[in-house]
Parts: sequence; C-alpha cells; structure tokens
Amino acid sequence: MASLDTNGEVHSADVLILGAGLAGYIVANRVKELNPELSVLLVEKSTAGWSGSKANKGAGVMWVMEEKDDVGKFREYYSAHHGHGLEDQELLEKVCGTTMEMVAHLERWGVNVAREADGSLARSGLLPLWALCAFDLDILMKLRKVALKYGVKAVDKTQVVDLLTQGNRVVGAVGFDITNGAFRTFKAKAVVNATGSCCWMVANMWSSARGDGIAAAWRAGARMRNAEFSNFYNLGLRGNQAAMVGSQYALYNADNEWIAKKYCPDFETDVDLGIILGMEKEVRDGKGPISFEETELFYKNPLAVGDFLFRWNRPQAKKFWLRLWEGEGKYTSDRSWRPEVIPMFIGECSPVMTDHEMRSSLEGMWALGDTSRSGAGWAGAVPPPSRIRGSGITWAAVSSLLAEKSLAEYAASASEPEIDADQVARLKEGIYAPMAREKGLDVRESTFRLQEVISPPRYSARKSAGRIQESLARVAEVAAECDQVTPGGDWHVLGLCHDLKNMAQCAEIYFTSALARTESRGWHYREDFPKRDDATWRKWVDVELKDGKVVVSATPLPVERFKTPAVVDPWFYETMYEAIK
Amino acid sequence: MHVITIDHDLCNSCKRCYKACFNDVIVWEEEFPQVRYPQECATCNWCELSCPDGAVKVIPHNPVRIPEPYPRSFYPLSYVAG
Repeated sequence: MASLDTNGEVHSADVLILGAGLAGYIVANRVKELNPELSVLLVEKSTAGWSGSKANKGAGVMWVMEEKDDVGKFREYYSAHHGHGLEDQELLEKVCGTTMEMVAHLERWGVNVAREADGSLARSGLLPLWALCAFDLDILMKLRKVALKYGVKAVDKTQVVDLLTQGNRVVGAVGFDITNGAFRTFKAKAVVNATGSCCWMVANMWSSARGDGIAAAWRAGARMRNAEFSNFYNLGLRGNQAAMVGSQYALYNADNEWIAKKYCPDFETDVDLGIILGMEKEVRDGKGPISFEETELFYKNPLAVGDFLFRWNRPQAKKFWLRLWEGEGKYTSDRSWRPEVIPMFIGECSPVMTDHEMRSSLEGMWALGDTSRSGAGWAGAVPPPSRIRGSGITWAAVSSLLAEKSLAEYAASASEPEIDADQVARLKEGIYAPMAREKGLDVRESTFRLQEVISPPRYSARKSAGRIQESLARVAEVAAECDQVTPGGDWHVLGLCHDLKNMAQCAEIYFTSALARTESRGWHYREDFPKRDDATWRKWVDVELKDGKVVVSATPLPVERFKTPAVVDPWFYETMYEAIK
Repeated sequence: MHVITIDHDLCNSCKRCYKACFNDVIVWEEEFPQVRYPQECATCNWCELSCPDGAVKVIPHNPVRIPEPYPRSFYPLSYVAG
C-alpha cells in the first residue's frame, strides 16, 4: 500500500481552485467574503495574477445587462439568432440578472470600469439590446491584491493533471511543477474547476487554453454537454493570425465581389457561421483568395464604432494594443493592401455540464467560466463567445457569483475528504511515464497533427458523418501517439505531453457529440442533415466516460418552463444555407 | 519561430517577464530570465511590456505554422498549392 507522505508535497484547503484566471480569483474572493474561516487555495500553471486566457490579453470589454435593458426582448433576439432554440432560457435570464452584481463587485475591488461623465456605464453603439462595457487589462492584478488581503493562497507553475476522487466525489487533484518536476497532491473539501476552455493551441493568443481541467473531469467521469459547439472561428490575417473582428463586411473574393451580401445578414452583432462557410465555398468554387479591404473594417463593427475601445483612460489596454499593432505592422509578412483573410480557428471547447449553481455531475466539483460555458446550457447552439463579445469575461465572473453560495456552504459542511494513497501513486506513475522514454515522437509535431484534424473548415465548419468519422479516426491515431511522445527529460515538454493527451480527449468529446447531432443548428452545420429539426433535436447531446467507454445520450430541454418559443430565422436556415451549398 | 531577446546587462532580475509569460517561454535560472521555449510564444508582448528596464524584446517571425485551411488536395480549384 502506498503512503501519501512519500509522494511529495501535500497541500490541503477547504476550497481548491484549479486555475487562477478571472473566474478563479472572483470565486476565491467571494468565498472569503462569505466565510472568512474557509481556507482557499489557487493552483496555477503559470503565475497567479498574470494568467487567464482573456482577462489580460483581450479587448477589455464585458457584456452587461443594465436595468434599462429589456431582458425579454434580449431573450427573444438571443434565442432566434444566437442560441437557435437550444439555450436554457432560465439560466440565460439568471445570467443577465447577475451582470450588474458583477460590475458592483469589480468596482468595489478597484477594477476600472469605463463610465460616462454622468456616471452611467459606457456602452458601445450599435448594440441596442445589451451593453458592452470597457475595463482595463490590469483586472487580475486588482483581484489578486484583494485575494492576498483575504489570505487566499496560490501555488504557481503547477500543472494539474488529474482529479482525486472518493467514490463520485472530487476531493483534490495531483500535478507537477513544470519548472522542476516536483510532484504535488492537493486535498480539499470542495474543488473548483476553472482552467478554461480547449482551443487546441491553434490560435496563438488562445494557446494557454488546452483543456486541462475539462479532460481531467472527463477522466473522472464528469458529464459533458453541448460539446458539438466547440468550433468558434474568427476572421484572421493569413500569416500572423491577427484577428480581424468585424471584417466580414469588408471581404472580397478574387472576382472583386463583395461576399457579405451572400453570407451575412444586413447587420450582425458578431461573426457568424455563414461567412465561414461562405469563404470556404468561394475557395471551393475557385474564387479564392478572400481579401480584406481595410478601409471598410469599421463598417457595422460594434467594437469599433465611435472609437469605443480607446476613448477611455485604460493605460494597460492602450499599452498592450499599441504594442501588438506595432509588432504586426513592423514584423508581419502580409499587411499590404487587401491582405488575405482566412477562417481563424479558435475552438473554445467548454463542455463540463453544470446545474444553475455551477455544480458539475461530480459531487464536490464546480465548473466555472470557459470550463463550462457550453456545458451550462444557457449559450445554446453557439460556441463561446456566443456572438456576444465580452461575454467570456462576463461568464467567468457571473458563473463565479452563481456558484459562490452553494460552494461556500458545501465547503463549510462537507466531511473531511479521504485521499486514496494508492490512487495518488497510480496517477503519479501516469504523470511521469513519458519521462521514461528516451526516444520517441516529437510532441509538438503530434500536436500539429491534431490541429490538422480540428481546425480546417472542412472538419469543423462544414461537417458530415463521413468527415466526422474520419476526424475521430485521426484523433484516435494522435491519442495513440500520446504513448510514444517523449519529453526528452524536460519538465516543460512533459507538460506538453499531457496537453496533447488532454487536447485529444477534448477532440474526441467534440467530434463524438457532433456525430450524434443529426441535424443542422446554429454553429453546427451538417452537410448530410442540412435542416434544423426541432421535433427531434431540442435536446442537448451529453457524453460521459463509463467503464472506459464513451456513452452518448440526449437530454430534452425543459421547454415547458421557457418564456420564448423556438423561432427559426428564415435568413439563416433558408437564404444562407442556399448560398453556401 | 518568434524571437525573444533579453539584455542581461539591463535586467534587474525583478522576475516580471518570467511571471508575465503564460506559456512558460521564459524560465528563471541563475538569477536571470532565460528564453527557453520560444516555440510556445504567443507574441502577446506582456514580457516586454512588463519590463521596467526595457531589457526584453519580442520579435514576431511570421508566417506562423498553422494547418492549411484550403489545401489543393481537398479543394481542386484552390489557389493554395499542396
């Protein structure tokens, strides 16, 4: 029998939070405010306060529903054009109703949220149904300062690999220090999984989102939901992946034809699947490349109208964006007149299923932010950011606020967890197994092979049973390579080996769910089932691992409790579908 | 591959660049930051922006390697060879 003491450092806490991004810090601070007696420990793969995939390297905007905004009208609009009838309307309303609470907490903690001279929240134009509010990119530093004052502890540079379980209850986690390989065991009454989404390391700015927590939850038996919507594409410049948000209205094919007229409605709040499928069709028809007329970029772009992002005093954001643009202009290969734009795959697999208080299907584990964005059900048939820019930040915060009460109460009353030393020893052996291989495959090359299956539009935008099955077979091949990759004695590369395994499992979850949904809806387009089928498919696709096998099921939405009936947008399902054939 | 340079004559060993890197590109060794894994650099520039002494520079080398969205093998009329 193994002993816990001989297995490296053991850290204990009442609440263990995996991932020190925005969700991790907000829930840490709120738990301490609700019950200062609870000990809270953050575990972070990089450095707490600097990490998080969106908070300190995004546009610095958040989605807010103010009191003056009509939630009923928003719900109707969202259901028709974003959720496509697959959204949990009850949770959607709860989310809307919590956004002002989010703003209040952030400002109380010192975060700089942009306001007008009269004190009202600064809103972007062209978005009549919701507010897009700006904040500065030092948000995590502000939250870290509060956390330190409250006595929240953090362990940095630690890659959590697996969860520890006691029956169906999650009681901790194990991982290793990516700088020196030290093994660490974490023991807790309650565990928060806030490690973010899986973006498969394709788009550079999202490359820290590697599905660590999602795959660990999957292996522990957590149920996943809505994973077929893991296919977010932005529009980006070929060569440097600079995101061209809003550029769908400024694209031309090789015949100099303005293509938005075929694939975009007169106005859309954010990029939709139509332009992605449309660009792919143009190339299929020999009308590529698709180029971008820079002078038209800000046309109908809610993020840019009225210089929205830069009329506020946001020193960190200004510094960040000016430097990014300087780098792009100075070093990028293609910033010429009408540079080429391609569908830039981002992914955002975020399927850990939760209830309305962010409890996962595993007792003692809550899943927040991009870990559960699709899995919570409110977003519906659209990958993050649900065609609402700034909603990633908002969901990280709001999911934390929805979880805080049940989490704090559970942690205060739950029994002391029992750690199975044999389980720890077994998982430890698995963590270090790649280090024993002196020769093997290059993990970065295997990762690229996985990206080749995930990111091209023919697999993740224009789907069919044949191509999904081909994808699953290729994912299985990459998964098999996980037993052949070698870190070459390097702890950082050992981390990449585990990332590969996690990303392959997220890909399996994604394509398995996509195969199950035999209809087209929102961002899930099936060439072999090109109709939306409300009679059969107002259901969520759920997948879970049982006895080593992937089990797929479908859960009907509780539509009897919804206020808005399903509406089929004729432009999307008729005009656009006809255009992209 | 992107290039990150650190001028150790200017560096005051404050560790900010090391902490700022969310992809573990910069490691800490012998009291100084060292660029060890540029393959994972996202060119976010936070290491450079965090340095109070101007010791860090990020030089993106594009194009980056990503899977081709429209290979000729699947798109016979594609403008992309291969």
